[in-house]
Amino acid sequence: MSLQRRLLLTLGLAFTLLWLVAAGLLFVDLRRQVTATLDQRLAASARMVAGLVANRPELADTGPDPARLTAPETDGVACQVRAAGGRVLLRTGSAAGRALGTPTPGYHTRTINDQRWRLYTLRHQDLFITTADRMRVRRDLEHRMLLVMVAPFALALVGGLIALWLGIRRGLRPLHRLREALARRRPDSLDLIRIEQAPAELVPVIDTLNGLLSQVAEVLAHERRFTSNAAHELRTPLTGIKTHLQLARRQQGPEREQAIQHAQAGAQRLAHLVDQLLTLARVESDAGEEPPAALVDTAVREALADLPNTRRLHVTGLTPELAVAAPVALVSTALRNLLTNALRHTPEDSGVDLIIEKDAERVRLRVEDRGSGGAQVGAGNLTRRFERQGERAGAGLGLAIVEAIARHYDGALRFASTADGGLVAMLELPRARDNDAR
Amino acid sequence: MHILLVEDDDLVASGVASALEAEGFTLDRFPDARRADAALRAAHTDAVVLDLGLPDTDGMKLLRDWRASDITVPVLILTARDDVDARIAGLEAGADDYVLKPFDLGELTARLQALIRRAAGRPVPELTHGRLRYRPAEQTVTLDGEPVSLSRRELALLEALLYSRGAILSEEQLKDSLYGLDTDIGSNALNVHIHHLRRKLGRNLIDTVRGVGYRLGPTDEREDA
Repeated sequence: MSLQRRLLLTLGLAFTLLWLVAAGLLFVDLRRQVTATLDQRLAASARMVAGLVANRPELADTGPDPARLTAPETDGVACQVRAAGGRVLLRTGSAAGRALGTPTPGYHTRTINDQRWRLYTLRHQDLFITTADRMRVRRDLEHRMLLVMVAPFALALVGGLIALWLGIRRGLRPLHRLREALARRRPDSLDLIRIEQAPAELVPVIDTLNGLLSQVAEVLAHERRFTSNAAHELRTPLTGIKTHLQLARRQQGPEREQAIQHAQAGAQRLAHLVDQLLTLARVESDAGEEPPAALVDTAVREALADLPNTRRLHVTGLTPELAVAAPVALVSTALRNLLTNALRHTPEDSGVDLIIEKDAERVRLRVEDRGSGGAQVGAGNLTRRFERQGERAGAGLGLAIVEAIARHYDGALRFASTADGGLVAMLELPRARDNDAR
Repeated sequence: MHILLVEDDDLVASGVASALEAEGFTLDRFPDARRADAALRAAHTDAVVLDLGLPDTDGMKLLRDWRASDITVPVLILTARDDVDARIAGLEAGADDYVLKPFDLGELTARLQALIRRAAGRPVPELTHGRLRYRPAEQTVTLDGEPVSLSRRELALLEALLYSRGAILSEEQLKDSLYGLDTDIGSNALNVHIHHLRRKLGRNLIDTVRGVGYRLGPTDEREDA
C-alpha cells in the first residue's frame, strides 16, 4: 500500500469518525436542552393558568360544559383545570383536552387517542392544572434541528476530507518527484539526484544518495583512468618492440642489429612495468609470505644494490638493530622506488639524502632530493598511478606502489618540500618488536 | 613529403622515423608539443603524425589549437587509448585519421599516404600527368609505360609538384618538402634536382615562374621526351 493511500485512509477514517461522534454528541445534548426548555414552557403555562384561576375564581364556575379555555381551537396543545374532588372546571375543547384524565403532579408522557402527549400537572391550592403538548411537534422540531445540523457538518466533513487529500498529495509531492527522478535514470547513470524544493526530511536521504553516487563515480573514474593509463603504458613499449621488429625484418646489416637492440630495450621496459604492476597487485592482495618484519639495514642494502648510481646518495641514521613491521622485499622495493624517483629528479651534479629517523613507535625514512618537485606537494596526484611528473619520469607507478605498501602495513607516505624547492618523501612504518626481526 | 612526427617515446619515435624515411618521407621528430608547434608554424608540412600522450601538453589540445588557428595540415593520431570515446574525441578535435598502438608499420605508411592524397584532392593511389604515371605507395615512376629511375630527392620533388595540381610552389615550400627543417642545404641544391627531373622526364614538366617559384608544366602528348 502506498504511503499516500495509507495516510489518506487512516487520516480520513479518523477524521470522519471524530466528526460523526462530535455531531452525535452535539445532537444529543441539543435535544436534551430542547426537551428541558419545552418542559419548562409547559410548566410555565400551567403556572400562568393557575395564577389566572386563583385570581378570578368565577372563571372556574363554568357549569356543565367546561370547554371554555379554547377560543380559537388550537391543535397540539391542551389544558385542563380540575378541582381536588375530580370535577373538571376548565379545559380546552379539543379531543385531547377531554382525554387528559386524572392527573398526578409532575411530568408524564401518555398516549391519548393514538398520539403521544407530554403532560405537566401542577397542584395549586385545591386545583390540579394540567398542560400538555403533542410529542409529534417535538419530534418535528428535532428533525428540523437534525436537518439544520447535517448540512454544516457534512460540508465541514467533506471539505475536511478534500483538504486532507490535497494536503497529503501536496505534502508527498517531493517524494513523487524523487521517485520519478529515480525512475527516469538510466541504470548506469551516476549523475547526482536533484529535487526542486526538497523538504528537510528528504534532504539527508538525497544527500546520502548523492554522496554514494559521487563516491561510486569517483571510484569508477579512478578505475577508468587506471585502465586507460595502464593500456597506454603497456602499449607504448609494445609499440616500440613491434615497430623495431618490423624494421629489423626490412633492414640489413648494422641497421638490423640496431633495430633488434631497440626491440630488446622495449622488452626490458615492458618487463619492468609488468614487474611493477605485479608488485602493486601483490601488495594490495596481501600475498606476502614473509614475516612482516625487516631490518632497515637489510632493506636499505637491498634497495641500494639495485640502484645504478649510489655515489650521489647520502645515507644517515642507519642503526643495525632497527626493524620495521613489513616484509623486507617490499620495504626495499618502496625505498628503491623513492630513491630512483629522487635521483631521477635531481640534477646530475647534486646528491640525494636518505635519512632514517625513529621514535618509540615508528620509523621514518626520509628521502630528500634537489629537484623541483616540492612545488607539487599538496597537488594530490604524486601517488596517482601512471601520472608522470616531467620528461624524465618512468611509468608513474613508483610512488603508487610505495603508497600501497605504506597503507598496507599501517604506515604512511607523506610529502613535503625542502627550502630550495626539492621534494621530501617520508615513508613511515611501525617499528617491529625486537624478536620479530630477521 | 615533409612529415612531422610528434612522439615522446624515443623507442617508438625512432622506429617510426626509420620506417617512414625508408618509404621516402622527409621526417622531423619532436618529443613534445611546444617544439612541434613551433616547427609546424615555421615550415611547410605535408602531414603530422601526432602521439596523444605528450609530456607537456595533451596532444588533443595541441590539435585543437592548430585547427583553431586554421592550420589544415592532415593529422594522423597515434594513440594507445582504444576506447571509442577517445577515438571520437580525436576525430572531433580535427584529426584526419588515427592508428592504435601497437600498429603495423605498413598500415601506418599506407594510411599516411592516403591522408596526403586525400588532402591533395587525389583519392586514387596513382598520380598521372600526361604520359607520366607515379605510384606513391611503390614509389615507381613510368613514362609511356617505361620505368624511370629517380633519386629519393627527385621523387620527393616530383611528388610535391604532382600533388600541387598546377599551383605555384615557392622555393621555400619545395625545400621544406625535400629536406624538412634541415637548414643546411646548398642554395642551388633544389635547382640541381629540378634540372635532373627535367632531363629525365621532359623539359616541360616543370615551369619556372620567375621570382615566385615553380609549378607543374602543361601536358603535351606530342612532346618528345
